[in-house]
Amino acid sequence: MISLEQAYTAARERWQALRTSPVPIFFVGAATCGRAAGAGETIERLRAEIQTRGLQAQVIETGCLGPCALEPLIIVHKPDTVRTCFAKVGPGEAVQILERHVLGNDPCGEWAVSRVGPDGWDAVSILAHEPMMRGQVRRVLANCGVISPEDIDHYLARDGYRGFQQALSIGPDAIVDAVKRAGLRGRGGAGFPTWRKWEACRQTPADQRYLICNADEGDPGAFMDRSLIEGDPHAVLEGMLIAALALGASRGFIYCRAEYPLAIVRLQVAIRQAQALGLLGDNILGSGFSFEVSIKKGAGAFVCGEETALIASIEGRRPMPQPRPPFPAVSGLWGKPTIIQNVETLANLPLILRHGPEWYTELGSGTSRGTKTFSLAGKVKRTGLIEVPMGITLRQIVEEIGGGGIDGKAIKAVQTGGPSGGCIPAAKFDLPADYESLVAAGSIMGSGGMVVLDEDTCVVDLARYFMSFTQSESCGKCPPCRVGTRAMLFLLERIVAGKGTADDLQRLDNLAQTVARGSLCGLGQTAPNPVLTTLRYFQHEYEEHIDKQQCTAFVCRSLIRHHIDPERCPGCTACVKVCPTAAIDGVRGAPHVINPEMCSQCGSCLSVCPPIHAAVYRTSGDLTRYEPRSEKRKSGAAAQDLESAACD
Amino acid sequence: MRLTIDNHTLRGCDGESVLQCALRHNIRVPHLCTHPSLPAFGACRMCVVEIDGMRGFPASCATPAAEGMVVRTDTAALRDLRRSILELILIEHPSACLLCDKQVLCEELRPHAAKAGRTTGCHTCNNKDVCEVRDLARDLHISALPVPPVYRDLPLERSDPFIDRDLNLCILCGRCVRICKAQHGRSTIDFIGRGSHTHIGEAFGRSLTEAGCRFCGSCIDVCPTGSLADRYAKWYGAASRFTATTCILCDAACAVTVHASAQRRAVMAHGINTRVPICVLGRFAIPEFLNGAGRLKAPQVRIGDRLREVAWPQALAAVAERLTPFVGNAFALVCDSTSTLEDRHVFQRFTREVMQSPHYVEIQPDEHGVSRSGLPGGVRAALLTGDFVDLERVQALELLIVQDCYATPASECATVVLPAAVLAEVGGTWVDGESRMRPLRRACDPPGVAKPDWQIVCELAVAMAAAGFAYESAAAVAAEIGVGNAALRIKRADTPLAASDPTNRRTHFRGHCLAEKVGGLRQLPATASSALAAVGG
Repeated sequence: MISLEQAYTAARERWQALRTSPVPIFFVGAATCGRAAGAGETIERLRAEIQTRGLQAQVIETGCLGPCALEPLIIVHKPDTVRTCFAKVGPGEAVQILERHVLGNDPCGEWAVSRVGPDGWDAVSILAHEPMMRGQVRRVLANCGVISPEDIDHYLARDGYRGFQQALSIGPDAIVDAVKRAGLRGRGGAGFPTWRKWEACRQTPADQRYLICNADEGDPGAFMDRSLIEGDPHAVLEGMLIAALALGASRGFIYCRAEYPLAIVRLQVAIRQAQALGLLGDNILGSGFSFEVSIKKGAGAFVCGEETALIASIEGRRPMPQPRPPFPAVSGLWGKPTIIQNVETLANLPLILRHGPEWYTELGSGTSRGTKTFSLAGKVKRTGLIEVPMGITLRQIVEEIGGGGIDGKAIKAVQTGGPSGGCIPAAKFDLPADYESLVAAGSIMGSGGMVVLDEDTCVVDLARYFMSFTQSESCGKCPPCRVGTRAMLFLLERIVAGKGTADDLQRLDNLAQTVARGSLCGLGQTAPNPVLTTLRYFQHEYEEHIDKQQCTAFVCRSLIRHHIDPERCPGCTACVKVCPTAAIDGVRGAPHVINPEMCSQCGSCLSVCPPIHAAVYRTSGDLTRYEPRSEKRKSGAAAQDLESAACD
Repeated sequence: MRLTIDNHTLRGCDGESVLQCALRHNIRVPHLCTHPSLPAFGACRMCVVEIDGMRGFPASCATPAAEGMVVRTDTAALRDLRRSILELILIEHPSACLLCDKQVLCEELRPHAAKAGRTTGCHTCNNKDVCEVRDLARDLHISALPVPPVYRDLPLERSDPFIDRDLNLCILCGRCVRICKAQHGRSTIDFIGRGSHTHIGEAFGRSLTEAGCRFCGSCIDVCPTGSLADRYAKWYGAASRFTATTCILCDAACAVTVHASAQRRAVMAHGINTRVPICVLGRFAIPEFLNGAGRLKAPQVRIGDRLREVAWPQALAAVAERLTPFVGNAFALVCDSTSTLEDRHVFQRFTREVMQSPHYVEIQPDEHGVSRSGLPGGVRAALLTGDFVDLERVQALELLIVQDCYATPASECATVVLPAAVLAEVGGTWVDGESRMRPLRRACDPPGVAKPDWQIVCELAVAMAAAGFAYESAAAVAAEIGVGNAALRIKRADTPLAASDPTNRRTHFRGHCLAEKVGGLRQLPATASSALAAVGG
């Protein structure tokens, strides 16, 4: 085995060699998000192309750079040329880039997003001038999309495991003190001060302590932890080593959902590499500290994010939460003191140790220090994985980083914290994104899911969706959660079906109070949040559904009626042909009529009516809506948006 | 440790929960999933309380009592919360009867549940008389549900022996799952599915038998609703007499409580110590065996070529008259050692003193309870207290008296048949496998005019003009033999062998195959089938 310092030297040399590589290199964002967008085929095609042409070129898979809307993203290193970042590169585009840019001299402007400046070639610096990147501070995600997650040398070359070495040199008490001074709080949802949990664990006498990394990211629309593991698995391992050292834990588990196969593979690779360098195992770096990590795959239950349920799952029992006390920090896995930390919390630890708590607390506001990653999703122009200092306003996140609504639609609200969180209306977008402010607004920070809703989103329908999620993910143990969410779902379904009654809102509120106050675990206690916040901020929408049978967003199908405007309809019979229920009468040349008795409100007629006529319109309650059909977006349009913005 | 509950300063014990402490001091806190023999679960949320310094509404069952704690169990907020939670429970439980405005009148007119295939409300629920959900609904004044109730419409599960399961009534308190885990250390049943599909069941859709259930019946005993029911006992309603006695179906001699109906017939039996399970025989076989259709209810005497029922005096006179010629070596009395000490003492005295015969045959049953014996040579008349002797040998006798609980092929060719009371129908003293005295107490009445064995034989001796057989009671017999203290076997730490492996259970009692009398046993796997074959059972 080579010594760690030798490994660092070799890693830096390899890293430098990549910078000045004499052969072209394609860095392809190949996390799950990139693969879903087609990065897998792009890589395959590139490799095949390089081989058949007998070229001297390299393809390196990296993690996620963040801008999901632009996936698959590749960064091309061409010797003696500025590195260039290309967006939406399918297999065809990849070959063209290879031919025209790498082999030729065409910069391929139609896909190029940004260029590498002279100051560096890190992706962040490339994209830093973009509107999506400008407001971000990428600390935890610094390596994501930049290094190869399956190569420990890349991590070492960027000062990886230096935080752990620092931790070894200062010892457990000083680690806890540093974490305390950094004000680190759990990134998994509740924001509990990390050091306080650790103290409870350290003060419990035990012959064995456990550390668990909670990678059971289950919120719909959240993918921060997955991207972080897929882009920088060693950061998580290093964080675990630091935490384990502070706690005196010799055994660690990473509880990762089985739906994240790539993250699991990358963790397995990272664990093997760390073991090979003596960073995991017995007597690590001769310090006498031993630590082993194993991966436990979760079978896809949302409730496993709850600590006691997660512990039960690792123990092989049915994941049903248990009442506390005892807290897991005192009696957890197999009755031993156990600390469970979220992926992102752990990935923050190396930074705190490497740069010191003072550097760490530079960012943030109030009692929320450091940065927070969010997965920005939903009806926003630039979706993706972002990292921002805590305390910046929701407006900055949604408007500046996210670029506002798609096609200029008005943003209505943002949903934070997944099914346990709430909807925060656009009027409150000046709220800082920190733990306390979000709770005060009725939502929670959660693990970082951020779903943007625009005027075409019906909040009642959204509440119904989240309630159906928590209802079906309830473990079934306590009646407030098992039956209460079901009863709330029943009322919400009744309201979106236009069958709500005047006192349903009061009933809904009562049930929400019962579920929140009576449930055993966090899942149930927070399950009513989406309903409570939408009732609080959008009560008028509920009332419209009930009183006027009106869905302002034109989402709730039972409240929508399709009609054909006889003055616009030329009688082309396009709608007559597609109507699945044969509800449209009419002969060619005469205006068609929809028979309301037979119409199922499927909207097929609306989608086929030629835009020049736009004769099909919808009504809901008092509203009438003629649909200006949105033109199909050209491929690469988003990239052009970004590019034009970058040129401003 | 001292804590304050509802303004009373109370002394708490170490390791006690707030709920236990409150209940111990007679402070009523509603609870459903909590059970004295189970660890805290915290699921039903009925025992929520307010505790100073603790956030929200902790479940008192899962909160350890602590020094200086200030607890409130009965505030307006708690009552509201409990009522709302119980309303939610009732959404998933056929609760129409609890909410019906005719409830008072209806229950006055129909105090007991009507027997029905499917339970749709309290009026057709076998658990009506002892239901904890009903009691709570009454205490909390539930009058309406926030949303319409949901009937799960699951099929009734009746394919397993002894246990009827109707998951439509289940409130998912998890008591059955937990008691099975606590008593057998295995998860024969568990929660399955999530959300509104959560239910109790066996893994992979197996049946209880396939999943290795031991049929100890503990799950039925702890179920607060009518979801799990003892198929035999379920329609008897609440029992009116409960007697602690000893199960003598095997050497383990577990203490059981036998429930008797108002008509003083055995309805159900279950172990006294709820922490240790008893076996399928102790839990399910006793009432069914005692109430079997083939029980001998009245003495019968052969008149012509048929056995005819007669009154006791005539029967005893007939036996006395016919036995007299056989006084001496030609007579034998055959019993087995599952008879009580008192019975055996009287049998022995009768054989030796009245019949002046050395042929008192006491069989030691084998490990499956099978007792077989021949008869000594030269015996021409016999009194058999069970099905012990081969039919050919019996048919060769000149006089056969059968004193037994069930008719057998042998009793069909007897001259006189005398009906005996057995098991929970008799009092006395019994010796278990460890040679300890165990008391038998009379828990129910025998069928017809059947009498305990000792009493029949004593009356027979009196009819034969023998002196010294006029015992007042079994206790008088016991006093004569000098039986010491007999104590119920309550505090057992070990699980009886048959309870941990039902295939090891006894198959016979007094020469009778139990499975012939107790239908459910036929469905259970039995390694003892070889033993059955050996005796032609």
